[in-house]
Amino acid sequence: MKASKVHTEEKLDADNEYSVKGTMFSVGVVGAVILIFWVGLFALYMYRV
Amino acid sequence: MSTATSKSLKEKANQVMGVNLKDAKLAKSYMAVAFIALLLGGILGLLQGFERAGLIQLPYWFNYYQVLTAHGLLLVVVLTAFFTIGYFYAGLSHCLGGLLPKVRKMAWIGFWMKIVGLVIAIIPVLLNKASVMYTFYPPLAAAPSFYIGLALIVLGIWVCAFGAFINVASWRKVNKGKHLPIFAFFATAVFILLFFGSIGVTIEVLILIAWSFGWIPTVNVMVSRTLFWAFGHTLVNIWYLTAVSAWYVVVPKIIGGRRFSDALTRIVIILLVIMNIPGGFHHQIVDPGMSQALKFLHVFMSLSISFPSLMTAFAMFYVFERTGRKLGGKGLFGWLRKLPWGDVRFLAPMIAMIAFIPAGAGGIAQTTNQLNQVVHNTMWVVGHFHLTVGTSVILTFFGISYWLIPHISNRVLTPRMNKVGVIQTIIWTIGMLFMSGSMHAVGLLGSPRRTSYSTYGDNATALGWDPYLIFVAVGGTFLIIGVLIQVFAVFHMMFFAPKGVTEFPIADPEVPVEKTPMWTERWGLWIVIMLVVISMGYVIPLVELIVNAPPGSPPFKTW
Amino acid sequence: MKFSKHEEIWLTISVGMLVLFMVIVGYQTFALGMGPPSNKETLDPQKVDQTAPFDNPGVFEVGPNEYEVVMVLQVFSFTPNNIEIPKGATVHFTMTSKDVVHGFQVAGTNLNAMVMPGYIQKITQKFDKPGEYLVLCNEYCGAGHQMMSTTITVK
Ligand code: HEM
Ligand SMILES: [Cu+2]
Ligand SMILES: [Cu+2]
Repeated sequence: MKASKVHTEEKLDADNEYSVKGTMFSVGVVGAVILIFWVGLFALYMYRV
Repeated sequence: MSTATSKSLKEKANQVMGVNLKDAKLAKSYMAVAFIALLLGGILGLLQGFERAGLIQLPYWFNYYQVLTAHGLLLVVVLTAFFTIGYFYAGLSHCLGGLLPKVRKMAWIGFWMKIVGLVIAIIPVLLNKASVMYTFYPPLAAAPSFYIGLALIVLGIWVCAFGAFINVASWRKVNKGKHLPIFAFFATAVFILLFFGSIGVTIEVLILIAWSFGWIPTVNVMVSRTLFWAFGHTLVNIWYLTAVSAWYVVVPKIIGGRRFSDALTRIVIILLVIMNIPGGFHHQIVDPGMSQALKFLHVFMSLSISFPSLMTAFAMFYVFERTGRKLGGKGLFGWLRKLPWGDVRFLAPMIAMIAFIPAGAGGIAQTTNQLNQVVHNTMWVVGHFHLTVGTSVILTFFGISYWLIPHISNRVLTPRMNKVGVIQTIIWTIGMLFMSGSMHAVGLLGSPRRTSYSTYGDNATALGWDPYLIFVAVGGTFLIIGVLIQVFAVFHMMFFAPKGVTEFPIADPEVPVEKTPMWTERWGLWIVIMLVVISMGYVIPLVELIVNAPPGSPPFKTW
Repeated sequence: MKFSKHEEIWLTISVGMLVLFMVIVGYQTFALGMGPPSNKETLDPQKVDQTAPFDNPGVFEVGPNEYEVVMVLQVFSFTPNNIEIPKGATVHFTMTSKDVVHGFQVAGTNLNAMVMPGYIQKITQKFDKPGEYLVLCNEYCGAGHQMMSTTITVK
């Protein structure tokens, strides 16, 4: 019992250390900002055509 | 075994000697000039901000366009060139085991050539004989000494570039089969871009010297403009690559982590070198004399340059998350809280990186062909480059100064000075939010750049810009406070901080260490590919502009 | 030396976005003729007054509610100035500079072009909304640059 608990904790830790969900979320924000700027400028351009 | 002893030997040597004193003196001189340029340029910036807000009117003997020419030159030529060279020479000294005596001498010669060039160029600006902006588009014609000074500055930079090449080559000869240390790899890339990127503008400047003396009657304005931007754009990326070097190499060490994949880092650097120079065309999207097909090819070239930056975005967040999680951060955002926000050596470059998100996004948007018509030469562009160079690059430089200046001065960063730095960073951030934000907005409404305060005869549209322009002055006020604090901090750390040893922070590579392929070291090949890409971008338009050229333009002095 | 799977996902999505941007503006440029002003004709910048059409600058009706404005830019003014056109008109601007580099920009429209000595620059805009439009020079051209402006009135 005890051994398996240690084992899962270790596994959790490893998972935590190697998780990149924060990174993926952050680059997602970067992508969103790029999209917002581009669509914003494009919308203004089309409005003024 | 042998690596272990050599490492501990090096550590001991570093402990005993700290930094090579002769190299440190060189770096200190470069830094001192850089931050004096920041002080002077910042004061001029404030005057411009107040003038554009309609709060003051600059007198005819020190008019807006004189001030703007000096602001541009001091900040984007002097500050950046001196900082970049001082920083990379300090790093080369650190990671290649000291500068070769002849290279050190070359760096001094380059230093004085740039100083003399600067004095020669700035005198006509002060005399109102060179109010042509730092872009000096002909047929606006400055006094010849302005161009002579610029040529000297470029030659001085070349001497420094060749010094760096010599030092790197000699290291490679002794260390056959080894990878160039990552910091030196960055330095090599930057000096390659500095040299190859400025060949075109040097030709332009030499022609303009002859033209301003009247030795040749006319000049080809489109060719001049194209050569200028091949350089101007590359310069932008040189600053960027300099800042990025600290992001990849230094910041991970400061937060207690390891740096991103060595191989991918080197590939980002190589890509930036290869693809850079043709980006210059995105400054000419609404120019005559070039076909739409050619411009579209260059949209592609410009957007390609964002690829290594997209890689960098991933790399940075990855390093932060990994480090934050190792320090115990949990969940989606826990790792963020574990980062040392109270340490200016992290905070300043971190805000610089965050600023690069909207800065880069704006760049991508405005480079896509006809969308450029919405913003070209408006205040939007001024807002854009105060974010890119004025924040992403400059805040990184500021962050660097808090360890580099103590390192080369054999002093330490005290907790109090760290706090000063944190406050400075916050003030700069607020100032740029106001200034750059309002510049972006008022640019979309049509307010032009490089224009002193004008209501265009009380035109309703122009009057509508005034509320935004007030915020340019508000932001400028914050920024000048930031400048004063920063300059104080630099000279305090250089001459008055407590003595001690400060390390040059270079992070260890990620574990497990993967082998970086040896082909990344083939600089000869990268230069050849770079030249091929430059030829693809430039041969056709330049030949067309020369072969189909209209009669040239005589010099004009319209101020 | 490999991208991690996550990095690959990010790079694929973001590059895909850039490609999409290029496809959209490329379609507009080459299929709809909406590309940036890129005229390649030249003339002698010291003989602008003697060279057609700039020997006779002005506003010319070239079709049903379609106009050509032949315009000369010089320090620090536009010729012709204070232009009036009817609502809904399509206006083709044909421009050159007699001296230094100028910029031609009309606030609130997509009219934005560099006007260089020696080159004939062309740009077109349809004016659907009535009102007074501010025309200004957006490239620094000398001491009076901030005064270089005029208007287009759409009625
Ligand atoms: C105290 C801080 C600063 C203030 C208040 C300030 C303000 C301004 C203003 C008002 C303009 C002129 C806008 C126009 O009429 O076109 C300007 C232009 C410019 N600024 Fe700054 N700025 C500051 C710092 C910086 C920094 C740190 C950099 C770069 C390292 C920088 C680079 C430039 C450049 C390149 C221009 C364009 C010059 C030209 O159009 O020829 N500025 N700045
Ligand atoms: Cu550029
Ligand atoms: Cu002008």
